[in-house]
Amino acid sequence: MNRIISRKTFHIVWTTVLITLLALFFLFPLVWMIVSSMKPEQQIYNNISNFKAFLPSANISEWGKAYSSIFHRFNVFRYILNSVFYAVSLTIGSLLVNSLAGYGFAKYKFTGRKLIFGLLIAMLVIPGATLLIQQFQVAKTIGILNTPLAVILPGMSSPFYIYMFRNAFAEIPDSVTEAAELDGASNLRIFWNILLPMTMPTVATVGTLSFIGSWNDYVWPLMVLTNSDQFPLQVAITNINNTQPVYMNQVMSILTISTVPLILVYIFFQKYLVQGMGSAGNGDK
Amino acid sequence: MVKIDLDHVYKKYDNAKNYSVKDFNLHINPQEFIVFVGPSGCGKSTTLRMIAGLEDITKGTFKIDGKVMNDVAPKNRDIAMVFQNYALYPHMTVYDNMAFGLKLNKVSKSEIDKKIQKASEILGLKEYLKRKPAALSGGQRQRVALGRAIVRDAPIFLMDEPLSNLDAKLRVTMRAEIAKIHQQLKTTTIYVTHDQTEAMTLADRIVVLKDGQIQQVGTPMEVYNKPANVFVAGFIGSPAMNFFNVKLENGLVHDINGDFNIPVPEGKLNILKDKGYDGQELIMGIRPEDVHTEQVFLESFPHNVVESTVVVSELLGSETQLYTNLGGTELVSKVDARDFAKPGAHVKMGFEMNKVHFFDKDSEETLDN
Repeated sequence: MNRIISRKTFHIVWTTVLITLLALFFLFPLVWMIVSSMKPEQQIYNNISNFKAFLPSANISEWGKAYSSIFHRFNVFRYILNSVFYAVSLTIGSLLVNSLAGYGFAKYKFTGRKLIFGLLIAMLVIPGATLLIQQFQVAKTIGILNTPLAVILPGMSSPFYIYMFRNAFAEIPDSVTEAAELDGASNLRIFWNILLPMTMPTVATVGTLSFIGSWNDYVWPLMVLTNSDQFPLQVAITNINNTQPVYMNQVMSILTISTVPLILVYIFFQKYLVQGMGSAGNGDK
Repeated sequence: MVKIDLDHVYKKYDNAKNYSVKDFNLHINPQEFIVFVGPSGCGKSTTLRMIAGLEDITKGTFKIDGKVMNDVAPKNRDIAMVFQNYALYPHMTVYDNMAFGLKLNKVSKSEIDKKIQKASEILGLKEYLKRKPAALSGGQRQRVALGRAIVRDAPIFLMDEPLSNLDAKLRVTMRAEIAKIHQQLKTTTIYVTHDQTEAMTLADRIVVLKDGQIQQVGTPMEVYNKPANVFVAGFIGSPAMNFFNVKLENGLVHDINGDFNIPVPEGKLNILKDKGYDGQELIMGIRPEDVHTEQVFLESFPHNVVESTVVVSELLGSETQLYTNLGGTELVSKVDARDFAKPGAHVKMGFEMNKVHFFDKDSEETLDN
């Protein structure tokens, strides 16, 4: 009996130690970034080779200094607003476009459905970077360069999200749709009031992933925007990092600011992220 | 309360070779409870779905109160339907499930509440109105599905195997409830099932279907007592009717193996003779309940007695089902529990020949009238 318990305890101990080490390994750049934003620049370099690298400045009044200076030097508030605007618009758009497309593929029978869906799946294997030039040409042709639309529109539809929504809708028995139809609901109402609420996990997953994707996007906004007033945070950070003089603690502070929304999103939607990714949108089961 | 007419209705699915429903003719009277019954794939659900508007009608006309409805959208047909898998909206409470259709039809809030309270009273759902479907048992869910249909006050109810997802005991209770609801509301109802007991107990008229074609339309007793053909005779009644290939000679029927040789009652014999079946082969059908083992019967009708060995016997409490072999086929008899016999036992059984049915050997149509 004793041996069994000790084996169990041993198992718990060594897995905990391993997991903690792994977590620390992933956390340390993040911690370093946050504490570095909370000390004068000189201290960052002085502390770099000892454990103090992971401690903020001993002087509490120093903690917010990098933040206030970066807000003073650059229009950070504007960049944050831009990023929020792009990410929220893109997320709402992505949910609408992809869920409607998924609904179409799941619940309507039309000529060429299989072919189009097959092409869509095939597109999953094409790396996004190879499409940048063409997308840029399209954006240029329709004349949306240097407008927020250029950032938002191309990111809205995604084969993967359509695929997730299609699977989620396909899981719902047709009889539910038919019952709503007999209850007098129009197609759009069936979609909005019945089917979409039944796929909430997928909605949450796609929403979260879209938000994160837009928030983190760097290359595309950089390509389509030239006016720095329209820059999202990620592009602005590069700008800040390239504008002399560069203060490391200020760079770290703006990086910290850019990470906060992601951490919040992860905390609130982690459940759905794991669920949604695990089942690739297997409906509401 | 409305009248429903189906005239020469056909259904063929895209890419299908054959018609799923062929030349379907039926006229349903107001307040009638019609049951479509038949084996899987007989077209009963397809027909129901055509009435609901969920499937297109390939050929023929479908009328409600004399108005052709072929191309009317489901939502404009004013039909309420109950599905086999309940088809409830899982994210809505029981109350909202029932209110959904009413809200869409712009019924006032107080009116909706009144209707839902009344329906939930009938169905015993009052205390569950705030729950979501996931927190209900199968029977309760089916009740909500019924409630959703009731509150609509639609003149037509369609029910697509509503009880087949429930366990046997609950099915019997719900069957009685459906009958009760129909007595109260008198809504014209079309009910699809493959369970002949449900058909017998609920229907005003039964429509027996096979391979997309109507085999017989009639009251439960008509379908039971005067089956139109071998299929209907075999499908209605449990256990199923026993069939023998027999030959009629000198007023007697005998099977091909010579296991029995029984006189045919005069009335039936005359009909068969008039139709020219004397000396011909026919199919004879006898229901398990018309095979007797009581001593009194065996003594009264000594010429009707057959002998066989019991293969399987099932004691059901009030009665016994004996499985024997006779004339090269299985003979099932439903007898009194006192006449229980163990497998291997030799038994004497008497055929109640007045209740026997005769069918043509080739067309399998009835020869009784």
